[in-house]
Amino acid sequence: MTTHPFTEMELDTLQEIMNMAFGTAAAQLAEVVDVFIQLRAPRISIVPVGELSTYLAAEIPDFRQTSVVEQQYRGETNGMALLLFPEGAEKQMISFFEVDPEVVTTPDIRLELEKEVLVEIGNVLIGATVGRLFELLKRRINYMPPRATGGYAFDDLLVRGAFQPDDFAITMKAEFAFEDRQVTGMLYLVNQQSAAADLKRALGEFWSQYE
Amino acid sequence: MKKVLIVDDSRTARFFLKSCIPVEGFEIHEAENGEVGVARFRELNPDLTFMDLTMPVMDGFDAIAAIRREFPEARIVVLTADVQRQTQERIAAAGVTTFLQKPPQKDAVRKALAEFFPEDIAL
Repeated sequence: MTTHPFTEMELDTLQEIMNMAFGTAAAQLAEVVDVFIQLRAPRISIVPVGELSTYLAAEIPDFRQTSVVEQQYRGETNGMALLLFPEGAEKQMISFFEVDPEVVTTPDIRLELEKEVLVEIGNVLIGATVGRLFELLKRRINYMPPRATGGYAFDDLLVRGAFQPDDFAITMKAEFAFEDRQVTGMLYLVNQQSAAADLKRALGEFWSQYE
Repeated sequence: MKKVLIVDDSRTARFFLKSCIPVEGFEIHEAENGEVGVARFRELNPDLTFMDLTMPVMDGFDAIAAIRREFPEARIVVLTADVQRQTQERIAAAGVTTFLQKPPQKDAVRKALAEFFPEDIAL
């Protein structure tokens, strides 16, 4: 059984706040790509970083082939947001943007554009979700630039973020579908264990508005 | 006593909304998804329903449609995290005129209640 520092009530609150934050993010992305995004109720869980790869492998078939957008954030809470899309999602998502066929002269240029689309969509979704999450929790953060990579680099990503096995990942499976194509994304926030105390305090402060 | 039904899959979200509704004069009932919400509506015939949209089993749009088929005059307020322009258009198309963004704010909830119960809520 996984142990973590959060109570059931805190997790439920975090899930609801993530739901609010992701709703805002989806609205921003819908404006950018000009399509309706169907949202599913997100599901949250806390996974120790040391078990994250195993957890993802169980959750996502062929997760090492997934496309990943990674963005680190720093401030009152330090962590890393990871947005995972199934392999090939960028090929569907590039069609949301007008690409001049004269620009795409080689397969390498197309690959580069697909990567840029992934980063752009990831930037909107991560920025708006994480931004709104910490805004609701009244905590300030700054972002590092987003980067596109793949699930194969997952363990390296965690090492680069200097996480320890007992640091924790807030995993939010936020499934969404663009109007006419099925793309399922998953957002994971990985935080250092030291962030837990402040996050619990922030959740308590959020609750106190309603008591 | 006015009966208010809150339909939301999140227990926390139901608690947040409940805490925004004045204790005096309102009897609050809850349902954890659209399907249960429709059943509770039939059973209670509430004066007002707060409906979330993104829920498992049956979403808010389907629940609103099911309620409206049997109770065309049902008074419904949508409370959702989904703030897409198209979602707001769908809410209006479903015949719901009052839409609130999550998290609920006491003032906004009171304003919505005053819209339906002006005699009970002083702004």
